[in-house]
Amino acid sequence: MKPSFIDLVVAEFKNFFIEFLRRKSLIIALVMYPYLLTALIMFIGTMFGSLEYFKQKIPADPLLFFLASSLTLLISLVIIDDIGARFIWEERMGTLPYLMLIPTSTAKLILASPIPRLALTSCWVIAVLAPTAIVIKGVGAGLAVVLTCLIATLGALCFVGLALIIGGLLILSRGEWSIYWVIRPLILFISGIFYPTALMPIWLRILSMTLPLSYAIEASRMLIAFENPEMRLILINVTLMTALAILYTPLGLKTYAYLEVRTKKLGGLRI
Amino acid sequence: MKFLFRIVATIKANMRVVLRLKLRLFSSALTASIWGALFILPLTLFFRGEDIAIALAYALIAFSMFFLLSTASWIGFNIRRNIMNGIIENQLVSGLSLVEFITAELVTGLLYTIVGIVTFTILASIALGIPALNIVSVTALVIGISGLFLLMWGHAALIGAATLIAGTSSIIIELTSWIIPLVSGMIAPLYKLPEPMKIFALMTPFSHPCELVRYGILGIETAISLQLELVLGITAPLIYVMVGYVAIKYAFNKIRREGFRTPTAR
Repeated sequence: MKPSFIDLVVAEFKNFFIEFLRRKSLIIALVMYPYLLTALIMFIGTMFGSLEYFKQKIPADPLLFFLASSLTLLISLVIIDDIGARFIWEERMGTLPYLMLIPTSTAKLILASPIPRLALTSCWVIAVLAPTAIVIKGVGAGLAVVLTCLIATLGALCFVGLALIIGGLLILSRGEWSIYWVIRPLILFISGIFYPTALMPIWLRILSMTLPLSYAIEASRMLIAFENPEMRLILINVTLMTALAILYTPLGLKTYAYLEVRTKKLGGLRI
Repeated sequence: MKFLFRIVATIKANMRVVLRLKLRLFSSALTASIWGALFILPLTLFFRGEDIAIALAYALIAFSMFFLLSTASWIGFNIRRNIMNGIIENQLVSGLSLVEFITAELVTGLLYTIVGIVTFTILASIALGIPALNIVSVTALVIGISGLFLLMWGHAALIGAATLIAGTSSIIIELTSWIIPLVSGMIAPLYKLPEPMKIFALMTPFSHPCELVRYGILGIETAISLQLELVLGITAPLIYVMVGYVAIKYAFNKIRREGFRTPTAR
């Protein structure tokens, strides 16, 4: 009997949460990472430079700006890691043969894998961001936190198509991890995760316009950190991100399926 | 002589791996540089538009300090990986001591660090502009860099000893690689730190060589007198090396008596 998509999601939930609860240090790290990243950037920035110049360049609260960016970074990594590198990871762990034996399409399996993590990270974004946002902007920031979380999660989901292409290329390269390690931060850098794309050189700005993540980052930051967020601009970013997802997701699914068959023919997946 | 021979032999073996995996040397340097650019280049947001070149020079120094410490931490932690791969027992049985092992690994690590720093400079120059470096004192720079290398050895030995004795996890290593540069004055100049943090940083061995490098290459004033800093820039790391040496020797004797705490995977 072929497992349904729901069965796969439930299996992934069990797999993920058992592993997650086993690694206590990971739980501490998840809460600490966004604050550590924000502290690092703010610390270096204020020690060498001045908050005044920051506010002249970006009309936003710097703490919320970098905190929202750190959280979007961590959510984006869920999709890049779970979809982009899933099979290579399984191959390394020696569990790939079992996955290949499941009577379902591998693309379906890959699409089910980030759902548990996204569910956890969404709750975690709210838990981490809400106290700081409420202290800085007042109780009214509660809705903005929920919307920021939704936009960041939607942005990560819009990235699925590109992540599938990366995953396909990765298995075709016979698990060349070094390529993956470069692609991972490069996508985040081009998306302007900590450095607004508007301040980047024109060629980097053009590159960032092709990535759905750039729009998610921009919209979520505007919503939570900017003093007077323009709803029109936020909606434009969300629309562009969704449009790119509509373009990339079917393309990603087709490309992945093609590359997987090709890799199997070439004997690339070592099972 | 045997000590040197064993170190050179280990470096040769490491270099053979590096040369065989050419792409990996470049890609890991590129990866570290992009991550560095991601977290350190936002520093330029805190500067006026016309001061970007100076901000990039600060960013370059901050990245270098962070990268050096991170490399040292991972060298220490790699002992665990070598245990899991079943390599280290063979190395120890063949007569290589942990002190020699760390020294040889440090040379390989330095190669990665240099490639990483060069790549970061190229990346920052392409994305935002060329950093404005201005060498003020060669003496301070040479003593500072020598002190940094000593610090790296001491830190790798301490992390290595902790890994062998307690079986430290990779997340703990990663967190300490973040926290130590922040609180010990490795990244930011000491005179700009809040008073309690400055006092704490002065008590650690990390801040002194970094102060000298910042003075030597950027002309940033030191928190204490330059003469005193020139002495501390080398003596403080030497003390740290001695602590690391004692710790790794203790760990070596302990594992010989009790065996490894980390299980071998193969």
